[in-house]
This record gives sequence, structure tokens and C-alpha cells, in this order.
Amino acid sequence: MNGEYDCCIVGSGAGAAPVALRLAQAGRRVLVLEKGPWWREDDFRKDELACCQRPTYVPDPALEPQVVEEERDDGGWGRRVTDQGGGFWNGNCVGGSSNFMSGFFHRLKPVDFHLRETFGPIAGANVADWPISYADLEPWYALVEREVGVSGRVVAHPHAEPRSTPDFPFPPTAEHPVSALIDAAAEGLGMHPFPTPRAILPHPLGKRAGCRYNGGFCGATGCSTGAKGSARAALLDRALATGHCEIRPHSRVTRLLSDARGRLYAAEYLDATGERHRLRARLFVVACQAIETARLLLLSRGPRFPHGLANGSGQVGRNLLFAGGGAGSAFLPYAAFETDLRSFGPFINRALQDWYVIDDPAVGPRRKGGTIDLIHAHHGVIGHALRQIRKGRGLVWGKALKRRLERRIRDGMLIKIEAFCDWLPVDDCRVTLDPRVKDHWGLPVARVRTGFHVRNLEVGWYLASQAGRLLKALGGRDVLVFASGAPPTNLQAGGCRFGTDPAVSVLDPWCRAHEVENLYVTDGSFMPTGGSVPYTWTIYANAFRVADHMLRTGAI
Amino acid sequence: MKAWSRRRFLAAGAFALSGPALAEALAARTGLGVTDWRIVDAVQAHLLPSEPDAPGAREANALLWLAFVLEDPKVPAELKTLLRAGPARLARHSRTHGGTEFLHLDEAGRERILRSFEEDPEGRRWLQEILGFTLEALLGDPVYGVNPGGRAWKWLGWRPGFRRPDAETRYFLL
Repeated sequence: MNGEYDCCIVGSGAGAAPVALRLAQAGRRVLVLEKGPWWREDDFRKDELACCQRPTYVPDPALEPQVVEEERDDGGWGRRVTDQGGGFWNGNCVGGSSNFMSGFFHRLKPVDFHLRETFGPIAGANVADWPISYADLEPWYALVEREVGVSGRVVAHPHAEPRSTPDFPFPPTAEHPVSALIDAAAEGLGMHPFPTPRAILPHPLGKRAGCRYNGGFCGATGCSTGAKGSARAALLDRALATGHCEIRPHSRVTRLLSDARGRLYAAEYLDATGERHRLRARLFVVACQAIETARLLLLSRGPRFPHGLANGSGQVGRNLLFAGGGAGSAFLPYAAFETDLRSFGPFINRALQDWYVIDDPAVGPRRKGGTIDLIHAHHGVIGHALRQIRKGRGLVWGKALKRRLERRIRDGMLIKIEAFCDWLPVDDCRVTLDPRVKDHWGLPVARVRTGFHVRNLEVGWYLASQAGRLLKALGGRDVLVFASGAPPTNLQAGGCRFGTDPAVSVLDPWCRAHEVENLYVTDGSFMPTGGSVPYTWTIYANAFRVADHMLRTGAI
Repeated sequence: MKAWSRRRFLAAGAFALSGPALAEALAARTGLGVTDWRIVDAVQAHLLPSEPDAPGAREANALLWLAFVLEDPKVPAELKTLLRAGPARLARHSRTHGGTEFLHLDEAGRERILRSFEEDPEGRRWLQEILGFTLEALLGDPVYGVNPGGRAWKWLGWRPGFRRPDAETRYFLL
């Protein structure tokens, strides 16, 4: 395809692919520009060196550093340039970070759409209600279950969200023997465990094969069968099949060009050889994951936008969200259980949402809580071994280390909990352009300030403690739970809030920029608050909602 | 081109060598001296010793793996500098604190010197990194020339996932 496109999409992950698919299915000419390479199923291997010990699926940190500002204990801000690693990149390739997700899929709940109205303001946080409700998004969650493929089984529990369909379109993936033990222990404590929905196909669908069961190996590794519902396997491959969608990998968009009226007319990008191109289109969609989306808008100054595209309000990059919470683990020695837990492959797939809203006099007035997922520790054995080399302040080595590896890897399993609570939007969590550090191509890099609200820790700790009770009841040894204010770099949202008031939001309720009539942002950036679940399902659902709106209203 | 040279390096048949001969072969191509490599070999074997039923650093081809790491563009330059500086630093430390060459020490002497080297922040960091890359060699996929036959996986009852990398999908070729 050559010439002018109807739509140019920057980025190819979960926020981009639904738009590409729907527009291409409607016969629009779509071009997807992706800065990374185009790996297919065959390229993705369960290779721990690739996924977890070297920067294989993220950009070379020396070429594309970021600047991370972290709050120090004395209240000042530390500054770190990530040119040796430790940046906030995820999944630099066609399909984006959805290739590397674990696919723990939860919907937001009705309460998440109006936290401020329900619980009132929180001092020091910029909590804002969404301009849409759960009812507006519910049909799109249901659609994602079919289009992307979400497997699970509906189990009633006190905080279960309403659904328009009785159950998931795909049955749950196979379960590890420990799941039944978790159910028994949780029910004994009056908790309501349910099967974690997964964006994983238990059996083949179309050109995608079913799951090959690698246990806790999904996260950080690409899927070799197409069972994981990545944007690439589930949506982009189908968009291509329409004949109306083209994907250009190794296409690094450096800025979007706008005219004197404030309309976008072209995307400027560099190809693999560094040659500069301009690509014209009628409509532009940005979906580069929250941090890089904000950066691209801030880099895209124009006659009407001296402070960055769609940034007349100064809101671009503000109220960046990660996911708050806590975590924990317990060791299950095989010899301590009557059930044979030596099972490699099936998933644990258990979650708890008993405290999605915390109504506990011990912690004060009703407040928003969150989700607890029970999961395998990542299957990577090098990672397991590396966790054994420290004891107190010293290193463990020699035969002592080898006996430790036997005890912790051969003779038992490590089970983990992840507690997700809202990462409250705060002034000190935002993206700006760094005034000094530039990437290899001379462009200012994203500077990420990672401040967090103390409420994240309080709620995270509350949830983690509840999970700790369960891990002990399960018979876990070395039960460890904690809350953390550190941002999980793989869970990003916010930075371009949607809303009805252009003074305090970047996007309108349909994720079109208030100030730019032919610009949409469809990754997680639109979220004013994040909910207490991983973001991907919501990003998929919203992007389908927006694409449908584009077509229905004649925006394209 | 770089990828090709790394591939050749891993396929160069150096696995047939061991001990002093391997140290000489590595010295010829890495810029570190024969003594440096002999020290690294001794440290790796001390940190992860060989046992009849449980492989150690030498069975894992850990020395060759470290030589590869020093050429790997995906390993940060700062870390490579630290890795390269370690052997000479340990040699000096051994002379100062043990009164003799590290390589002349017996097992107990090496343990004593390494524990005291661990008190030095630079020494500790080097030991931690050497141990980390040794564990990579122990437990990495055999396609990288380490962990031959997946012996360490069998020892620990660990199973690799589907699909494993092959020669064409090693990370530095992606």
C-alpha cells in the first residue's frame, strides 16, 4: 500500500490493535508504525536468558535511556539515568507488551468508575471520576472475551461485577493440584476464591493453537503457540488478513506534525537505517504505552501547540498511574503435603476480591481495596537460583548453595501473591521531557517521576496481610508479605486523562484529544484512575469501544 | 557480523578444552591474561564446586560462558569493566591479606580470602556477579553451550518450557 492512509496508528500493542482490526475490517486503509521488530510465534522461546537476564525484548538501554526520579527517604528526589538498564520499557515489538503479559484478566468494577463520588476526595490525590460508567464498558469487556479469548469460569463472590453473558466463552485452563488446596484453605477462612480469568486459550481457535502449559513461564516470555491473547496473535494477524492493514516494524515515530489550524497531517518516523520519512493520514491514533505516549505528544510541538500536542491544558503526562499494592510468597515443601504438588505446567489461577471495597472498622471508613492473585513464582530457574545467593548481608556459595538450590527448587515450590490496589493519581507521578538527556537520535527522553500516595501502601499492606493469612492456612513455610511503593514498570496507565472538561483532561470521553480533532489516544493513558486490577483487559475493551465510535460517527 | 562472530565463538570447539589450556585459549582472545582466567576458573569452581551427583561450574562450562559475557553487547559496559577488573583485584587482595598468590592457596585458604574479599564492596560486587553468571551457565539452556545435556535441570528436577530456543533463536540473534 502506498499513498495516503485513512488512519495511522503509532504503536501496535493492546491499545492499538483493536483499532487496527476494526478499521481494517470496515475497509479503511490502516498503517501501523511500530518502533520495534516483528517477532512471530516461531521467534518466541522459553528462554530465560532472553526474557529475564538480558534486554532482548526492550530497547538497548544505552540507545534509549529514560530518566527515573525516585523519592528519597529525606523527601528529596533521586535521579537515575537508565542507560545501563532498569528503564520502564516493556515489549518493544509488534504486539507490544501484550506479548509478554501473564494474562491475568480482571474487569474493572462499577465502583471504579466513580471513586470520588463514592468515597469522597483523598487529600494529596487527584482522584477523578470517569466520564463513563461500567455499563458503558461492559459490552466491550464481553466482546474482548470472544475476540481476544478469555478463559475462565464465573463464580459468585461478594464483589463480583455484573455481566451481560452467563459465563466465559472459553473454559478455564488446566489447574495445578495446589489450587484445590487453596480453595479449601480460603473457604476455611471465610474467603471466596475464584478462578482467575486468563487471556489464554485452552484449545485452538482459528490459526491460534491452544496452551502448551508452561506453568509460571507466561509472564515476560512470548507465547510459542498463539494461545496467549497478545494484540499480535489475537488481533493484528486478523487485521492483516483483511488486506487493509499494513504493519511497518522498525519505524520509530519521532513526532506528529500539525498545521496552523491544529490538525495533524503527518507522522515523521525513522526506519531501520535511520532514514527519515513522512507519512500522511487523515486520522492518527497514538498507543505507545503511557510513558512513551506522553513523551511523543510532548515532543510533537506545532504552530498551535508550543507546549506539546494536545497540551494546552498542561495535562499531558500528569497523573501517571502504575499499580499499587503488595506482594508476598510462601514456600511449599513437597514432603509436607499429602497431595502430590510436583506438577509442572498447569496454572494456579486463583484470585480473591473479598476486599475490593474494604469495610473494616479497624482501618476506618469504607475505602477502596483491591484484588489478590495467587500465582506461580516465575518458572525461570536461573531466577530461582539467584534468589538463593544472599543470606543476611553475605553471599551463599559452595556446597551450602547447592544444598539450598536442592531444597528450594527440587524439593518444593514457591507460590506468590500479588495484591493490586489503586495507584492514586498524584502530582509527583508524571512524565516530562528531560531537559538534558537525549536518546541516540537526539530526542529528549522521558523523565518519569514516580511519587506515590501513602494510601497505596496502607491498602497494599492490608491486602497482603489477608493473603498472608491464607498462605499460612495453606501450610506455607517462610511466609513473607509486604507492601511496596515502588512502581511496577509493566503496569502503566494515565498521563492523558479522559474527561468532559478540557481544562483538566487531555481526551474527551471517546478518547479523542480535546484540542486535536483527528487525534485519538487508545492505550491505557486515558484512565483517570486505574482500578485495582491489571490494565490490559480494560485497555482492550476501551480501544474496541473507541474504534466502534470512530466508525459510527464518521470520524473515519 | 557481530552476531556471526559470537555464534562462531560458541561453536568454536573450545568446550573440548579445560583448565589451563582453556585459560590460555581465552587469554589469546579476550585481553585478560592467562593468570586472570585461571583465577576466574578457580573462583567459579570454589563458588559452585563439582560433586558426583550435582554438577558444578566446570561441568557447566562456566568459564567459557563468562568469556562470552565479556563480548555480549547486551551486557552493560560498566558491568564488563567490573568483571574484567576483578581477577587482578583479587590477586592483589590475596597477596595483601593472605601473603600469597590466590592460585597457590588450598580450599580453606581460598575460602578465607574470598570471605575477606567479600568485605570489600568492589570485591563483593564482583563475587556476586561472577556467581550470577556461573548460575546462568549452570542452569541456562544447553543451546548456549552451557549446562550440557541439561544435567543441572535434571539434578534439580526442573523442566524447560515449550518451545526451547534453538541455534537460530538464541537471544543475540533475535
